Amino acid sequence: MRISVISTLTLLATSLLPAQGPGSKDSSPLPLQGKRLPEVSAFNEAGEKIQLQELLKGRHAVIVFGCLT
Amino acid sequence: MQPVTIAERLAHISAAKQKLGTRIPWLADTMENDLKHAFGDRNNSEFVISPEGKVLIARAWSDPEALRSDLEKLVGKAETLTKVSDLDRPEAIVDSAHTKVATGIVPRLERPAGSEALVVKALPSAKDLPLYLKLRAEAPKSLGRDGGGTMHLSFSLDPIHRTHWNNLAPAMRYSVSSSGDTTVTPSSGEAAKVTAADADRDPRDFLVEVDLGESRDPLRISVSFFACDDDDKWCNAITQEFEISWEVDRDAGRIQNRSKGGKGKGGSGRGMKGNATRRMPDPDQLMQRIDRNGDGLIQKDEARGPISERFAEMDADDSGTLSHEELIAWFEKRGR
Repeated sequence: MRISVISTLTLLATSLLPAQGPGSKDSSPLPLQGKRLPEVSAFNEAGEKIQLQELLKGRHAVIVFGCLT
Repeated sequence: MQPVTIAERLAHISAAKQKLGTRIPWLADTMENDLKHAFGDRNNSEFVISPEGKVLIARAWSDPEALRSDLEKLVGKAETLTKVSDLDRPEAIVDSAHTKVATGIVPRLERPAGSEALVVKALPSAKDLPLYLKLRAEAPKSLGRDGGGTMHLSFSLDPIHRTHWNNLAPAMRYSVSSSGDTTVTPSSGEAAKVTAADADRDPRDFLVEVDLGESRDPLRISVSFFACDDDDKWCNAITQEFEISWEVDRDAGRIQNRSKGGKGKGGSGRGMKGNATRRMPDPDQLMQRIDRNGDGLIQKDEARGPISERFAEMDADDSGTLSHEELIAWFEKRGR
């Protein structure tokens, strides 16, 4: 089975956001759990606009959100 | 520091891939942050999606161990295990490590209590130059409600463009253009001359008093500064313009553990008061734990324990919700 892991660059707000570490994580589920993947667009690394549903269709995928700065 | 164009977001991805040496595909959100909003507005969340497009796992905070367990249940164990601790991960993807330009030498100005980031638009450069300078404007919510108050302006050179202040040239200047009966005092200002180093990358902070009057039109700020690129290929005089709207930017992120900066003189705004560094509960962790619906606010029915008991006291603007900034303000007030 193929797994696609995608890091999603969304906010990039600040380098001062706390790093992940013990005690700082909340593993509680978000309301989206159990629902259909939202119909939403994003940009791939080449700067092309893509539909997330199309990109992930037919395989397990992991999406991880993060801030880089 | 927020990228303000898709090109900048893609540049961050490129830097991250190079620095992390990863082949994992990356996505950049739209400039309207559609992806972030659709997935619950969390900065470090993670999701497992089925081949049929169903969200199997939606975790508010990324948990690599739990994720590994999830994936093993779904598709079996991996032949070769790589742990996070096996990786040589840098602290920051885009940082100043490539240069010896000074940092931490310009004091920071404290933000007014209860400040929240306002919507700031970086206007395109007339010469189509990169938007080297970024502005973060913050003010208490009471400014919009009462029509006046103190606003904190912080101008930072974006490290993705690898530039630094040229301290041998005149210091950075700003000038405000307001419409209607809005007044900003001072309407122009100049950063204090930095003599500790010929070049640095520290933000330039200012505090201004705003009287909105009847107008709620955006404020336009023009900034002139001298910058050099980190490879010493050019030094130029640069002008950029920003537009500040009187609405809270829910996508602006939060600032934690702001450095106090080092020795030197601050900007020509009001005096530096020093930063609050007292021990207090981490508002970010509290927000992550309590904000169950993920809207970035603590609703009254989400609050538990001491937060619930003191909700009205903490809700400074009587909005019926607690913002991250209200949590900080309340804990800072209690620590004094």
